[in-house]
Amino acid sequence: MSAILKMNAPTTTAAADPASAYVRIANLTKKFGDFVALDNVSLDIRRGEIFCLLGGSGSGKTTLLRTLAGFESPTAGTIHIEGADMSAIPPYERPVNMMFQSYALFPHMNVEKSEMLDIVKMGGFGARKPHQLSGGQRQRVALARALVKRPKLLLLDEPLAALDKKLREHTQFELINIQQRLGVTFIVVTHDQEEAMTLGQRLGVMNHGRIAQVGSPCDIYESPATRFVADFIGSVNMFEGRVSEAEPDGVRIECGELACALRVQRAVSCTRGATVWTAIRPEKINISRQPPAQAAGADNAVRGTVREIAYMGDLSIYLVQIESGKVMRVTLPNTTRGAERPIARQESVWLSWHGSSAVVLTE
Amino acid sequence: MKSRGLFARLALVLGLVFLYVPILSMMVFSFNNSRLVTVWDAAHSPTLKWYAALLSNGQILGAAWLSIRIALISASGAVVLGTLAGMALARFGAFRGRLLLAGMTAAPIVMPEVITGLSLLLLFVATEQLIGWPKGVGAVTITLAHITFCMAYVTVVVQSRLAGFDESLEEAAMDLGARPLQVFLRITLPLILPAIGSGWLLAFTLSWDDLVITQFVAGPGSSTLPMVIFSKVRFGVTPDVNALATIMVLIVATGIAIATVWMRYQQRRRERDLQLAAAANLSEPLQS
Repeated sequence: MSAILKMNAPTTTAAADPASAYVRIANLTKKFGDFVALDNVSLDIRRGEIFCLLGGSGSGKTTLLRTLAGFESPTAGTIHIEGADMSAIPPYERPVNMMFQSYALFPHMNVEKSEMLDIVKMGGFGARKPHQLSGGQRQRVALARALVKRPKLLLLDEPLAALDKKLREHTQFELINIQQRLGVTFIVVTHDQEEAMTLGQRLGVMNHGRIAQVGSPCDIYESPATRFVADFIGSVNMFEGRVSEAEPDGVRIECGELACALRVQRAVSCTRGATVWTAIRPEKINISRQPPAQAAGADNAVRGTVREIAYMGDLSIYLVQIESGKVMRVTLPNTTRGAERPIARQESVWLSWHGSSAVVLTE
Repeated sequence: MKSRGLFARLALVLGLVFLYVPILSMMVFSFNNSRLVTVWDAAHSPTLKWYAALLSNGQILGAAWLSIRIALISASGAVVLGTLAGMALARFGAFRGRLLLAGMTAAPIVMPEVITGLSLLLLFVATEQLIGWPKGVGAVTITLAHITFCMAYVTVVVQSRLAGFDESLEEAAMDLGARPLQVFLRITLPLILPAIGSGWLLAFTLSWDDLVITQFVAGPGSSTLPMVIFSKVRFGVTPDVNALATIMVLIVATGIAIATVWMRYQQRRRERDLQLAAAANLSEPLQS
């Protein structure tokens, strides 16, 4: 489920030079009384990209979007769009439009004719009023309305949250399609990580009003910068440990929660004796009845007992209790139909992973 | 209905009797030929003579006309001020003096009418001495007093409508380039218009039948209809008052009936639209 769907065309129009960032958010802070909604946020958005702001509720992502639109004025910091300072520009004069989570269609007005309706495949619906439209149709009309003024920057607040799952998946790709055709820069706020990874060419993960990490979906999933990001995006097995060997091409970590030592074959900047956290994704762990090639007592292999199995159709989730008592999460794709002798509950198994699969986090 | 039981039906019947028998008896007696209100003159009834007498009674007609004019102006003035106050309370956040404004606009609702009336009278007397306006008490002071207390009710109605109003509608309009005044005129105002309309009707009825406050601020030659009825009743109820009251009841009942039918129609149309939209949702093709 958390596989990386990266189907977007590469950003050919994206400015490679960071000095020419299309939208530049610099040291932005927004306080509501004592509550700090945005804490010194700095972020550059490139021309023509889909940038997804991902975070839980209260992470500040919607406040950032509303500040870009001009509905909130920042306590400190600046926003520049194409080099122009937005501080004194009211919402009705900004080259920015917004698609609202509630769609905010005017209930007393008709949809009206517009060539944008054809782009969202709603050509024949101009005479309808909002309450005469289905949820999916309303979503399209809201998108068309936000695009009518040909904004340079479109802000989308949870654009797909109100749609059911099937329609949402379909609409994700349609949204990418429309964005590519019109070449508008999109900033999408979402709490749904799959949506963010499907839509976004780059993601910004937010937590407590700060940007925790910015990067491509692949960067964020495979190389999370912090424990929060590793845990927030997808699921992860996390082990606290102490660095026992630090070499240029990798580290060895002694870990009390694990019967084996962890060897991570990645360049990690940490010193011997430092406390670190090692994150291993569930799909990167092998599960087998036989001891793996590196055999007992070796690094990156532990014994355990299967406690729970959840069959999800495309994959199965195994909860395996290892000797220290900690439960590890392992997912296996169900590549064949009806495996010969599937691993059952309470069976004793080996878990192993490659040294390049684990990520060492220092914060 | 059967399962509701005897008690429920008894309560319904008694409730209707208590509410409507006085009104019905008044309507019946308006067709009574006898001069004595309580004696039914079976021989010469029913008759329309009290209605005819009413139409030739200049005092009552004049008072009715004054009441209508005062109610129209008061309701309109109260709607303007009440809408502004409602907007301020619902939209401008925690401004300095918000609590004071909220308390002041709600005061006429909770304050005894006698006190409101007395304080308004004292205010008018004081301003006349200070700035020479308003000149004496009369239709002007009645209208000002009615605007003051009706505004409180309009504020409450408008404010509660604005509280249940999706603010992102206003933001969306602004986002699409509408300036604050345009946002108000094209989005906010049309959407709170039903609340403003019911606020106006409420203000009109309150002004139309107010007696206590009006007594304080009325002067010679500015008797409103409730004041005329009240003064006539003090010398004994005359049958022409019954006729007048019957006409008023009929006007109100007709208004309510029209409003109910219209609301039913709107409701049904809305439900049908929702069903059509839901059906469209099911059959919506997933083109790729």
